[in-house]
Amino acid sequence: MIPCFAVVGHPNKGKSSIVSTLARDDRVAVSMQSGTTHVAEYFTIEIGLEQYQLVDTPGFQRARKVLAWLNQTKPNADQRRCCIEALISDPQCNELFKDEIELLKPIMAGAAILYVVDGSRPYSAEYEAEMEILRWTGQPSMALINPIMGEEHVASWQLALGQYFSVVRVFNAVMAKREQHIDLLQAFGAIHPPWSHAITTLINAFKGDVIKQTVQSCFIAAQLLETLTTHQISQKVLTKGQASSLKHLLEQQFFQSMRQQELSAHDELQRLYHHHYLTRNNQELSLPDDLFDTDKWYGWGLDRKQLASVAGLAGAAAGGALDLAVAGHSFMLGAIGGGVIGSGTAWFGADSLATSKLKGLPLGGYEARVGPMRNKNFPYVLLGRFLYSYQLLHRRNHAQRDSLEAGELCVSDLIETLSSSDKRALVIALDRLSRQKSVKQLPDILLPLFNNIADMPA
Amino acid sequence: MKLSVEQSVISHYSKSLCTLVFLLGAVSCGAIISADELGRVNLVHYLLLFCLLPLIGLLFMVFGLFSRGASPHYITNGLIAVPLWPKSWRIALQTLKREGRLVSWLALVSHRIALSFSLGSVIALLFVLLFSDVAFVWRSTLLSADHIYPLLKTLAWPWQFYEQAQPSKALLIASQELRYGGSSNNAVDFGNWWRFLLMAQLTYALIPRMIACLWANVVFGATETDAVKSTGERIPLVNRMPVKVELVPLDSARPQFKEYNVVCWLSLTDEMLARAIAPFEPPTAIYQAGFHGHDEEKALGDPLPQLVLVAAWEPPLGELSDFLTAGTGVIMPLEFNGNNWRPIASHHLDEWHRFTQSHSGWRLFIDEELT
Repeated sequence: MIPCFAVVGHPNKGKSSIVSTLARDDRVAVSMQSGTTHVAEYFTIEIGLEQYQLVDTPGFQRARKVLAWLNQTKPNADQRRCCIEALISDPQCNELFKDEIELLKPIMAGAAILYVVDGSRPYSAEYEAEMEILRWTGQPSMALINPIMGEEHVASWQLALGQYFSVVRVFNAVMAKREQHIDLLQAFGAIHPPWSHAITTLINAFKGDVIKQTVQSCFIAAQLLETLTTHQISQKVLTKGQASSLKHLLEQQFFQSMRQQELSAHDELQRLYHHHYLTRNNQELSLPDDLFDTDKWYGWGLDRKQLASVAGLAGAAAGGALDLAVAGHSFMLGAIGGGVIGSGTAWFGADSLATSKLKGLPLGGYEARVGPMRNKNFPYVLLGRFLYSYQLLHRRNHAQRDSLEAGELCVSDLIETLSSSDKRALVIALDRLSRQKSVKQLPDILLPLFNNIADMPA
Repeated sequence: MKLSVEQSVISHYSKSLCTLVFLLGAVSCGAIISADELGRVNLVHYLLLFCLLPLIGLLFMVFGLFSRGASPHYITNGLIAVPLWPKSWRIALQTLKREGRLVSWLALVSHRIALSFSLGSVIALLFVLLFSDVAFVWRSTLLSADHIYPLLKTLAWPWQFYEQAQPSKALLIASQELRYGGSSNNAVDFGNWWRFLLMAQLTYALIPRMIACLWANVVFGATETDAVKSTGERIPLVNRMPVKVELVPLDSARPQFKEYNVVCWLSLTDEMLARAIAPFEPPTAIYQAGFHGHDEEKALGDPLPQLVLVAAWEPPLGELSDFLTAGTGVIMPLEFNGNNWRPIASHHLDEWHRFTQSHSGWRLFIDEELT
């Protein structure tokens, strides 16, 4: 049997929040309204090749009555588990104690118990009936104190829970850090030794998964940077007037496309961290409005430089053929001369080519163009915005249900935290990107920065 | 199955690459086999192409299987690092790397490329054998048949069952072309070497590469399933977010009872209890009920209206709901710390509001003086 843990307790004490955070699944309904969980729901958490199950259960509603029913025959300790089984199979009890039976079923099927209480509210004897019922099941158990609104009463809870559970942990489902997740997983292993090996493997896989998420975030950031720093929109027309008239339309298309691509990258990052239902309040990427330009184009859509290069190559090839014909006695002068003549003619004759027509078809015209962003700061801004979302998502638990406020980190300050070699590589990479040059191994260059941010205190 | 953009790009380029290498294999085999005017081709060249090259490839493959950590597919890795490839392919490769599938893809494409090369070579060989008469001869200043034969015999060990494809020392000696006088024996069928060459290609290139290709395909397919799983569709859960209940405005007027009982459903000191009920007329009876009291049965049997005091922070449970079904009255949540009253949190208030609304004959009262 794979390790399985039933999360049980009083209603509205954060059971679903704990399931959501541990399962890293924001589908789990977390609400201030009690009774949100009405049936036991299984979550299989797969990390690497290992897996474990969490069961979200309804809260106890009639614990005293259930305990009274169980105590009818005053069973000895060795008969108590059978009493629970009798309770589950009794049709009348199924009508009267629906919630209790729903939560006891997975436990009796072999799940270990995670009993959840709210450490911000005082302990009261009200909970004793619940803990007593759980003790009757004889299953391995552990108590989790979830300090929903503060830790005011944690100490008194620890004293009380310690009498019923061998392991008691404080775990804030909304604020818990990754180290606390790992600590909790380790505690899971301690409550039932046969599962400890699987749990240890899970912990290692969990650590690996965290690293993998950081690496994948770097890839998303790298792709975003490369795409947006080279992005441009262009349209070829015949006259300069036509090209100028396209300015507004092309600018709009360009801005929309840039912003959309940035949003898509942030969405992807969110999906990577399994926040599928998280709403994000985005801040629009600000882009300057002086990115429009027009330029001449010539035959086959080439600009002057490209045309000169093509003509130069063609001339060199023709000259090279001549060199071959004379068996190299020309000392490659044919190829050199052909190249120079070809490129020179193309460069200086380009303007007349632009206005010429071949069988009525124009050989040149104008190109209206928006982008790319050549501003030196642009890659820094993009990266800063991405890093801000990354930092929040990397730390965010799935029980947290408020929306994510987008923002920006100051990359220049963050770069200072890197080692000199990492800093140098990153600055060079961002500079190359601002000049529309591709950067080899950009994700690897970004990784130290992402690692630093992940480790930074909140 | 619908392919993603990255998958289509990857598939397109790897097919092109395989076709290119297939042609390269065919051309190189054809170039070597292009015989002189007498139809003679150098057997040693063929041995290099059909035996040595596949053997080196096989060694790389085996090394790749047992090496851990760094990707062993150096050649393919090097090839894709060439800044010649289009941006779309680089992006697609980056996506594969991000998904942790690059190594398995490199393995797959390496095997496919090697297989394409072998197929190209074999097909070219078969074509030439089919349409021309080839005489395999060999020349060497340093090597003699005695040097080469043991090597060929070792190489032919895997296909011992196929007698005709085994190398024969007599044929090897006969195929040696001597500089001064041509071949030593003109009566020999020099074309007989083709079976040996074909078997070498099958054994050391085609069959292992096909198996490796199939395995790599399975491995790559499995990583694809993982990638799909991580981005896959999310099934809605059974326990959904609760429907928001429309709450009727609260009546803030203090309830006026002529006769009533107080039911204390929470643990409260006498002093706090006295303060809580002081603004009301004195009750007929005070019952301690719920988890801490024992008067529940008495309270249930009393027909008078009840003022039920509850802990605001605790959610209303089924036990209280069962108690309320028998009577009528007012529910009054209290929030306190020690001996100090505190305001009730809005979500707790809403919780009690919803609860009371679902019980006919009961109303909720919040004593503003106690908050």
